[in-house]
Amino acid sequence: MGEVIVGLKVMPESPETNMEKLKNDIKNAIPKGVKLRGMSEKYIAFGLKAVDVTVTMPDSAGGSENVENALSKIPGVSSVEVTGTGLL
Amino acid sequence: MAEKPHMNLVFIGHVDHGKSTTVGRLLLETGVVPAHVIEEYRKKAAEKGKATFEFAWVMDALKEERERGLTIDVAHKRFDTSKYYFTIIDAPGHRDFVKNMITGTSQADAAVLVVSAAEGDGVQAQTKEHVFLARTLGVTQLIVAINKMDAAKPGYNEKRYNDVKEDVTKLLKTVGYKIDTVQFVPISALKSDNIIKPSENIKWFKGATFLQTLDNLKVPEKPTALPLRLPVQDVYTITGVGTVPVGRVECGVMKAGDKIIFQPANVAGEVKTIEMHHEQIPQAVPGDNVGFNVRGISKKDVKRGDVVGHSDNPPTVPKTFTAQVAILQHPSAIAAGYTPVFHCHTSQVACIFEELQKKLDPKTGQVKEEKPEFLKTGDIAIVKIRPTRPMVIEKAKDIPPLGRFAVRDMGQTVAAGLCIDIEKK
Repeated sequence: MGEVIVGLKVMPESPETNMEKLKNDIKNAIPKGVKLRGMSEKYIAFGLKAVDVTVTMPDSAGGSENVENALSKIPGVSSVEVTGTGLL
Repeated sequence: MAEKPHMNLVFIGHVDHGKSTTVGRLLLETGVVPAHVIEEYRKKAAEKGKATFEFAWVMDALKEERERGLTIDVAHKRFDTSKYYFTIIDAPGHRDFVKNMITGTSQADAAVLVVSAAEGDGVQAQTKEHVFLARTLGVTQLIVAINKMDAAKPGYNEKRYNDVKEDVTKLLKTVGYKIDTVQFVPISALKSDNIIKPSENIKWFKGATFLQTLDNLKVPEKPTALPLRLPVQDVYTITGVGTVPVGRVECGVMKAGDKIIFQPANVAGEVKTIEMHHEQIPQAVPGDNVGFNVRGISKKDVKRGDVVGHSDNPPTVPKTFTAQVAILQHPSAIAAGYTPVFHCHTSQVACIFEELQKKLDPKTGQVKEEKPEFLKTGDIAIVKIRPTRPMVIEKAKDIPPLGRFAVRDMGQTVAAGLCIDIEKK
């Protein structure tokens, strides 16, 4: 069935959130079976930045909820949103 | 030279009908397969004394390269035609990814439905599901690529094309596609028939090539004429600025100075300033991801899942709503009283299936059963839904981006659907 690529937008709790630490925590929170394939900061507004995260996983894994949940639990994360999904 | 208009193109269809091969062929024929992949292949082919170009090898090499590569982004499949610049979304096979397609922010502007004409293929359960999904996603422009014409029995025969076309036509009509706007094209992605130039093997076909059907698409207009709807993603208190909600404008236009209301919070305020990236902007239009400073509200008044609209045309918070749903996967049966979680824009609310009104025949769209006792995987039905707490949802016909939802339960995407009517409070 191939590999699925998923784009996620991670919003911090405040503009003062330490983005380097947040990115490092994201790296460490990626669940087993999911590969981190890209991470970049994106300026939103009024000093706020989001982290755009790209991951891949097998199509057979069935959804990206485990990644969304794992990233949502990181201290300092306000929300996690899927921005895009497709086959690799 | 001015940049070409951009389109997001989603490829849908049964997993074995050649979706990925069609995408690969398109990338190869439009010249976006990296030169080093082709060169490497030429060398290997020459070593083995092979003269013919083996498409499957290039597909494998590309796949390997993508899997091996370190960084990649969701919009990694891009190609150009003479008119447009396309980004391809190849729909995953697993149903649990349907939620991502519905709530994801990268909207498809057009869809290519790939249906195999090989013997025993044609319209399959997944074809039906994906057609329903395309409709739910609000994709109105559709190309039907009838693929594997080389594997029809006998190969490339017109009758098989017409038979498959007729079956697909019936299916499309059931979900409400206007058939005269749908483009049908016979192809063989594997053998490169009718992809960029007319094929000798399909002489009987006088219509467009696959690439021409893509150029016939139109860039959808931004829904600026619709009422303003901006689902809130997060809310911040920013020192020196004040309360700043963040979100994406789905439809309408929001300007600085506008009087707005957040629903279902039922809190009103006035937009002071709007920012996108590093800049202050006078107005935000559909597709813009913005932060905006609101006078008259505090962070605790509004939250993720609330929707912003103008005070004189507020977002709808219904008592109940009527929906058309497709049951994608459920281990047993769904009866009245079932209460899964509805994912609609940025909100997640448990909703009750209060009344199962009608079961539809997926082949004809006609009512198959009035007041069914239960629904099972594969059923399409009209149901009455009651949210367990206030939520914003709109009639899909009036405000498409806020009328679709995915239904989740037990860690699975159980169903997807559209709101077709509203019972106001």
